[in-house]
Amino acid sequence: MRRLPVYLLADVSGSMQGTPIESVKAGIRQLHRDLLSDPQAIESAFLSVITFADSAQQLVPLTEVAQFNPPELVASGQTNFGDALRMLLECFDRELERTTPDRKGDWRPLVFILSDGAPTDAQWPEYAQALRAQRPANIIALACGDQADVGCLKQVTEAVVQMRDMSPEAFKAFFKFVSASVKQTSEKVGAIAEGEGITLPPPPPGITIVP
Amino acid sequence: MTAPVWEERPLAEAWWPEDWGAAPGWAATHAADQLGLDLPPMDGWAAVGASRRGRLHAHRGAAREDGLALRRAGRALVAAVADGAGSKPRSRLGAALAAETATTTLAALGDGPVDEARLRAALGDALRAAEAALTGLAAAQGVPASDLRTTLLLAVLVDGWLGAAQIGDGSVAFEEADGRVALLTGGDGGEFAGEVSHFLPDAGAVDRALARLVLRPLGGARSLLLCSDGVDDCFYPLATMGPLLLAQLREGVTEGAPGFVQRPGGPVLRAERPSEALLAWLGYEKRGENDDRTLALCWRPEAG
Repeated sequence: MRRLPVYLLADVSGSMQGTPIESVKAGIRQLHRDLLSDPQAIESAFLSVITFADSAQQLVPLTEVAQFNPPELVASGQTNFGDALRMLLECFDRELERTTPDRKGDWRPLVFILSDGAPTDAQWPEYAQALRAQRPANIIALACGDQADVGCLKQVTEAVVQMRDMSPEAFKAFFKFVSASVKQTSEKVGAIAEGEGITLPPPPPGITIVP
Repeated sequence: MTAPVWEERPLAEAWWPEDWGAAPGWAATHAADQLGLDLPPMDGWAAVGASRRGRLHAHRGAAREDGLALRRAGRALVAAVADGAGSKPRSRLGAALAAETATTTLAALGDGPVDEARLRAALGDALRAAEAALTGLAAAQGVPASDLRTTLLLAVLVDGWLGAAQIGDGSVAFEEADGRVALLTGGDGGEFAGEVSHFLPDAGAVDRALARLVLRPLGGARSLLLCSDGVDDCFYPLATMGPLLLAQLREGVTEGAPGFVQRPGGPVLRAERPSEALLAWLGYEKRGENDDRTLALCWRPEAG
């Protein structure tokens, strides 16, 4: 079975306390509900949630949509972005199935990174470089608010969008974009030229593409 | 919560773009959700082809993006299967046009004697003609040629020879006299599903295919199979699963293969209209496999 792996990499550092973390939780629940209503997503999409603060944690391993349970998120601590990227690479090695002569592999994974600040560790550039060089996934990064380090996110992926307003409505719109992206990728993955980026839906109002 | 239901929706836009002027003659054959073609036995070989819109496209109101052509001209039997690139807006047109053009060009082999050199040249002509047709259509309509991107599987049987070429994914496979199935041409795939390194009319795609042409005597071959990745991925790897697929077409389906939901059905190859039976066979269900499905089979009826 060909799976579409979708990883959510969420900043749960102290600065996300309050409305932002509640909005991320609500967004994940909404994403789950959206995908449950789409027959292609039910058959193909697998979700994982990785959070990062003082360290990274995979709260939910890659799980099919029908079995996925939106996790509880608690915001506290620093922003160990390097550990998040390291964990993402480790999850790729452990969870992804690549095509072999005997078995058809997964679709190239989709990764959505959400962060509202700047990394507090010194290791992140090494892992960012590995992700840029290996290109093991289609990665979209969301810079939340005015304090997000856009330059850092750009080290990981060219596809960075910025959401200056961190209201619940803004997060809701972002997660609708995530849902639409997953559905569109499911629909359009028939034969994509290697090295070519996937086509994503346009970001919603309030979210701008960082050039 | 009730499970979401797959729906079948009409096309959201016309198959031939309304602002592209009158549709050419070949468009009418390819515009339908399903296409079935039959070539009755001649010179010991028959052929059948079927192309079916996948559930995902049907659910989205999108057109079938696979192309199919079967042609007999003189002593030559020619088959083509194509798959438009999912990310490209007009790839269905590229797939149809590539299949039509390549088979029409190759059909010229039916005139005059055939040897390896002539076969090689003819396959090259066919691939280049398909490439030119796509770039010509794109130029005429003022769109990038990449909008018409497609894979192309091409095969010809003539005078005891087999020639095959491949651009992109999918498979061209050969069934030996003893029932073993071998892939003839190499597919273009990456480490992840659905990724293709070369499409027609990308620069270098034809040259790459020409460097990997397969030319061989037919010998005791029982059949030749071309399938788009919508079928190939379900029966992957085809070298292992191919005998099961062919057995189902020859003997019918009494119970579904592991991982498949299949309706019982009679032998496709002995049906009154094999293409209709093949279209029905292509309607099997397999989780996560909802792409368009296209299969062309050339077979020796006396070999079973």
